[in-house]
Amino acid sequence: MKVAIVGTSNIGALKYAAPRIAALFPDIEVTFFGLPGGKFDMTRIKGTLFGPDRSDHKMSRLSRRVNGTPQIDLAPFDHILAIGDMLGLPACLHTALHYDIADWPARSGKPLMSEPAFLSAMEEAIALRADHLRAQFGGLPLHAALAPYPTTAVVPDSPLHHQPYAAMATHPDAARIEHLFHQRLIAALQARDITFVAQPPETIAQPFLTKEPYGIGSQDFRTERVILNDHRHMNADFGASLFQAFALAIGATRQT
Amino acid sequence: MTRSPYSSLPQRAFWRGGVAGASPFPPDIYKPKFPVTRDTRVFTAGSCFAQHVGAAMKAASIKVIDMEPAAPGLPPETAKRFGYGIYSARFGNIYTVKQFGQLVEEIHGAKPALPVWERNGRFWDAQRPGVEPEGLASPELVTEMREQHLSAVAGALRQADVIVFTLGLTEAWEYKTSGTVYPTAPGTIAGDYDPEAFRFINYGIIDIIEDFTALQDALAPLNPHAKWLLTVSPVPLAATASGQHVLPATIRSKSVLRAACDMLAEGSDDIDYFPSYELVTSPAHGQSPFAEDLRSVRPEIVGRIMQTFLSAHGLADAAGEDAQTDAADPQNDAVCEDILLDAFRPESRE
Repeated sequence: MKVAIVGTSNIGALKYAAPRIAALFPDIEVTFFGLPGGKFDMTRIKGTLFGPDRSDHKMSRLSRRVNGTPQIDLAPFDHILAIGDMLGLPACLHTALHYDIADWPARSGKPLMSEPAFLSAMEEAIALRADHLRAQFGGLPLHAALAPYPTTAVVPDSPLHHQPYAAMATHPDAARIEHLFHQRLIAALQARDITFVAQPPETIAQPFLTKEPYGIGSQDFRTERVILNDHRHMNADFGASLFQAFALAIGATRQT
Repeated sequence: MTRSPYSSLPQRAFWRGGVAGASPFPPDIYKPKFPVTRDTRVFTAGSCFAQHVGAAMKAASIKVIDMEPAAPGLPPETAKRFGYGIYSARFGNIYTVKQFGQLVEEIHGAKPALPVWERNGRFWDAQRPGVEPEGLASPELVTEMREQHLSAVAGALRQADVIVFTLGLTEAWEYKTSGTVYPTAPGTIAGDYDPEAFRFINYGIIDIIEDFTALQDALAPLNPHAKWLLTVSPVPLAATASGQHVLPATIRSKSVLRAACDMLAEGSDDIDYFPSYELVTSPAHGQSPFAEDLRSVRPEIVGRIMQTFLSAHGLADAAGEDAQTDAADPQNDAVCEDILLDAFRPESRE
């Protein structure tokens, strides 16, 4: 079975888990193709070729160095996992932080927003990004995973502090928001013939935050052994875990 | 040559050259009584055409007040559908002077009759049913959200230098025992029409002048210095309950509003009138200024009207392109509850 993992710098976690993936799933041949976030976002498939425009010499050179090829032909793959987009999550969380949802009991003195308005905002934010993702990959069958939640390192008041995720650590309705978001995300992706691969529960500290150890030892997807240790990129443990979730979704059997 | 009082009048005073043979958007059609600058804090309200006015002013970097704005991240279609970023607060369309006055009086503690309307187990704020298209879960939520809304409206009115108000309708539905009016007829979005409880009213000029005076009185404790810029919506009635054909009913309604604006503007240096109605209905247009429904004003016409307004205030350079772009976007159609009346046409009922 041939599998392509395509995405932003977040593919690094899986790329550096490749030996473990190969040991666990010897029947799966995995190919990785990554581009920096902004460039990935602008990239659209042409025919079955995915990659930076050939006129973008700088990015083509980078892609050749990192991926071994400037573009990847996705036609031969049985399954494609796209990873890196947040699929509307930041917009949903910013909305949740700005308002008290009137239908829910918690009040913090913020402006009130009705639950229908909040859910409409969520659905629209997801739809905008899901449409974008579908357009990036044309009509190819696709699996999609969110970029990992940032680690709990973003919560304290430190250089890594990062909103809107930090505030979710204490938000009284974080679990409810996560549930609603996943419900709507799965439906939106299904409607576009995309299967959602959720972040594995064992990696999640609390809604919208990854356990801090998964961020330790994360490496730059472009250059092995360049340690990031930031709050956004995850290590090979995370990558192996996410791949197993993906393998489950495509019906692959793990080596026992 | 014999002398005539007309002999020294400018071109704009003559139909030929002022309208016939002239641009449908003559730059000298409007001479502001008072300036609107980028530092002017503008409160916008009115019928659905007023949404274009506010959008164009924002595009021109005028300080349009918004006390219940869309938060960063709130997607645009949802924001519009739920009344965020359309007016200076989420009050939805205000079609009549009486309705505006009621809103301000409510800030001072007045209670409109039947404030909550129900349909299929959901509940609507009867004074702004359009801003929650799916309704709310309970009457208590309607009340809680309205209290917060009234506080926002009061804050917006307090800081206004100029209130831009587009008068839209003379027809309304009134609760008999209290005189409370509503932006939509009961039973249109929610609620139920009980002929024993509600009655149709069609305001005349004197009614509107009196309602406007009451509105000014109610506003004074919040903001005694605000100036007014009135316009009349050129959008025809979607339906009339007057018993007349909808065309004369529309002309009657617009004529009354136009005359009332003239009386108000003539009587005060602090009340101005901008002729958006005239700019749409001018016979100088080479083709109909209305879209295929003969009701919505074509976006490019709206853009030119707003450019005429901004030019008169010396703000067109910065605004022009944005204002045009905004208006030309078909997704920027104004949110109008009154078109919902269309669903009650005989062929729609069958």
